[in-house]
Amino acid sequence: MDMSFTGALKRLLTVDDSMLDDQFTLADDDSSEPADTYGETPQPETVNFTTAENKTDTSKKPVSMRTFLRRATREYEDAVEKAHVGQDDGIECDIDEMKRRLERFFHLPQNKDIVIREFRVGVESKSPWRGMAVFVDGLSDKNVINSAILEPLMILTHVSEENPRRTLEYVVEKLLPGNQSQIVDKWSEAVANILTGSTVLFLDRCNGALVIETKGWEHRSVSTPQTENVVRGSQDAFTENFRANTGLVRARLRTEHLVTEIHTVGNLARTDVAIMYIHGVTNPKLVREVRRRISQIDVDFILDSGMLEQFIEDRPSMLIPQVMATERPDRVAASLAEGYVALFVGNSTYCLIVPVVLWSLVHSSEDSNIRFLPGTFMRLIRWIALLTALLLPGLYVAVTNYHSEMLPTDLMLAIAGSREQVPFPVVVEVLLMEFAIELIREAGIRIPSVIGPTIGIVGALIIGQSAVQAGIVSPLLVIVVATTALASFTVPNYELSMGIRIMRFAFLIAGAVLGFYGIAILFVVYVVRLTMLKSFGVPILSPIAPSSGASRDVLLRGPLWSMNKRPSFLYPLRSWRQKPMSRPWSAPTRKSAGKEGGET
Amino acid sequence: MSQSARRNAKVPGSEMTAMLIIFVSTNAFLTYPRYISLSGYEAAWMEPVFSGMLTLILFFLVEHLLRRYFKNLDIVEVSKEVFGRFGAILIALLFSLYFLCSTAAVMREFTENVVSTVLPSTPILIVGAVFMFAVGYIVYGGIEGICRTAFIFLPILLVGLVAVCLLTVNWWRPYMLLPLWGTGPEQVLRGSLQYSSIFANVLLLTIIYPHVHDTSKMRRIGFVSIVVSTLLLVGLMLTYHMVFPASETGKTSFALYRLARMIHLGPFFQRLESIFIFLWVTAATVRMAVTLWGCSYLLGKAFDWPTYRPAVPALVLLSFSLGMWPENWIQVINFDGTYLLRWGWIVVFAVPIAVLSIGAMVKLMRGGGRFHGGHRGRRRMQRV
Repeated sequence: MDMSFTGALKRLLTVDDSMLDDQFTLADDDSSEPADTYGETPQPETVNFTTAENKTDTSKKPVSMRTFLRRATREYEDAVEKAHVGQDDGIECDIDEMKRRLERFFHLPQNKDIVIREFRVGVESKSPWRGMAVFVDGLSDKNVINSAILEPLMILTHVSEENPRRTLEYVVEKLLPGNQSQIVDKWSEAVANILTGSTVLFLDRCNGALVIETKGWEHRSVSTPQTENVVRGSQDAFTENFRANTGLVRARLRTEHLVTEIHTVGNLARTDVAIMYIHGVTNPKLVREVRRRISQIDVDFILDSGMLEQFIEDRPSMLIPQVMATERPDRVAASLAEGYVALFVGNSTYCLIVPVVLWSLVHSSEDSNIRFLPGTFMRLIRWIALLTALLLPGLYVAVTNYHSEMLPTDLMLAIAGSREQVPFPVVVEVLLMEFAIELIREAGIRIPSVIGPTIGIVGALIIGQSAVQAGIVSPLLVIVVATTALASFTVPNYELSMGIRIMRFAFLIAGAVLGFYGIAILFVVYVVRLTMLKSFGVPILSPIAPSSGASRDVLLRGPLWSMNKRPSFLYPLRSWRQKPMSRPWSAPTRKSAGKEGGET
Repeated sequence: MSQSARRNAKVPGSEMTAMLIIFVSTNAFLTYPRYISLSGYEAAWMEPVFSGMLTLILFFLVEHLLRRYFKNLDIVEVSKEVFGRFGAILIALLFSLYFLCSTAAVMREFTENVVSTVLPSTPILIVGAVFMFAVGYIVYGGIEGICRTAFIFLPILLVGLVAVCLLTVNWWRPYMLLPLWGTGPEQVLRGSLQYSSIFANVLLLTIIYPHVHDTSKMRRIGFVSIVVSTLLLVGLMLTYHMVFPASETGKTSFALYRLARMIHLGPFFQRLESIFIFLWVTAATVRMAVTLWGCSYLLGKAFDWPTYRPAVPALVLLSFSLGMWPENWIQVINFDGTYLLRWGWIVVFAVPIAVLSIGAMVKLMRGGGRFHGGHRGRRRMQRV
């Protein structure tokens, strides 16, 4: 008691600002050691990375933007070059030197993911033939490594050849039963292959390395789509496996003309990007443009298709997406057959389709699987829903504020009666409700599934009943906001749906400030903006503006048998996708074809 | 500037047609119905017919001259060939001034319409400023952007105008169209000529000719656009005169609004005039964008500017200021009726035809050959 009293008194009478001291800081680089320093273990040949290199000197006077960009570009390129030092060299013959290099590249022994398995190949001569298999623990299939690499080389092999190069080829041809193997002679290739899950085999006195395909990390199996569900149509979606995804498309589109080019993006960590198109159908200029945009991405790391999308689309600041992201292999296959280009990014579960036109963002893959009249009806519903999601709150505010005369008297009185107890202006009321809906939507995504149903109850109670009973909002507005929310879920494309969610607020403000006039002006301005927007050289409002002869698969869904041509805005190499008369057995079709002279 | 940025804009025929239809039909909700009603009374609907026929003939004539003698040249380039640079500047200034005044008058009329009908408590400056911002934004999109926008909004105009005509069916009194010749054939013909300037197709043709994707379709574009816009105006005038007596029709300056207010199809479908604001806004912005684009484009051509776009904000501000200059709406209507509508035909028809005719004669006297824009070193490509 006495001690605690004395301690408290002491604290009162002394100035102690130790609470302001940092226990650790990243900011000060003066005393920092090289990042690779680890305990007392002496490092092999290393490249020192220090944060001092990235320090911005603020003492200097401001520089022009051009100078700033030049300096930043130089710093970035220097850092990239430093990170890749030695990777362009060839592979040495001496296996000890190879091991030292590997330790430097992969920061061994700190880095425990990299496994170097040293062994001796079974040879009949007295001098041993040393080798090592390098792979990443967790990325490679250990069973394959054991049974298809180590066991054949160590136990089953009896080599008498001495020529190193020939021996390496001999190993490929005779000793290793792996289904995919490749000889590489650059460190960069060896490193890249190790990091993608392959096993790289180094053999003493061989100035090359053997890459054996052993990829086998854990991943989710193919399952149903999360955001693009359909009733009629296939029920599989892309998964977190690059080659499984390309395989899902190829399994549907079985043509030898389907080409999959694989590029890598990223300076710090490489991500595979596959460009898929149909040779002889897709316009080569489009493929070249896609290749050009991807090859010019200079970035440390790209994780997902959503990130790549932002690097390659024409105007990332627009709310309308200029690239279509889909998780459905059947949609990708159908698009490829039309003449589009598909992009697969690393282990992303979404594939990108380019170019995109606005109308196709409202299409669903189900549309083609159902007959054209229900298909047309569904598209019509979606278009109405899109306009509802975009305009309804704004129109409601405009009507109640400025144009109440257009409402029938009974309805106007009903609205006025319902708003009698509400203390807020209409626009505030709508904003409150929209905010609540956005909260529910966002919470619904992040809430743990165990308590998922709660969100519905809470949302319904708060918005549907309590808010009305408390006199915060009018019952009619609840209907308006709920209809808007339902309508926005009807839009099949998630990115477009997000864009509409945001644009809705702009139209709401326009309606609140200038009524129908404001909404109309904003609508015109946005349409004008869209007419100028392009996706990979294709105007996003094609084929309506600019108008070009296209099949009836734009706003509505035409009969499949009459949609004979591919979209002309893609300038495909083969414009006809079926014969003008695709139902020759049908007498009415023959008659119709005779009258119209071939529908296009 | 990249190669793609320098290319001459090319507009497909359908979009050009839509733009021309909207350009002419927009007069349905400006002062044109009022003036032709004053001029022709019950026969006011005939005036668009005669004006349209006249325009059609002159359009074909001008198209022939352009195709035969001035392939891929616009009116400024033709003027340069015929009258030299100074003459071309004068002619471009004349057309630009006409377009500028037209933009200003339409802006004021339109904003007055909006303020007096749907936004009575909103200051006209705000309404006008918002409108001019939208117009300026469209002009930035160039002729391609304008025509694409026109093509998208054309269905709204068609459906809207036809709806206004048909939804007032319960007020139609066909006998109010009699006597058939109204104020008399002579007066009707005079009115047709005087107010034919709303058909600016001929003048526009001489400006947009190099930008048409396929010039061989120009005759078809002209024919369809003139016929459709004439039909729309005739339909509106017929309806207007079947709903209101002729003596009343000349007293209002917003025929379409008056008609829309009359719609009453039971207690639910009534007082729908507010809905038609979407029609007015979309059509008026396209029309004013065309005139403002024409103004800036001609100035750019005359003074050899590499691009006209930097002039757009200045011209937007200028036309806005001009439009707000008159003290009241009546002054604007009088100015429009006295100068732009009554004497506009000189600028819209007479001057372009005179320039092209003189140019053709000069060319014939010089020895026959044809002007081809592609071979002219003086011609500068402008981003449109």
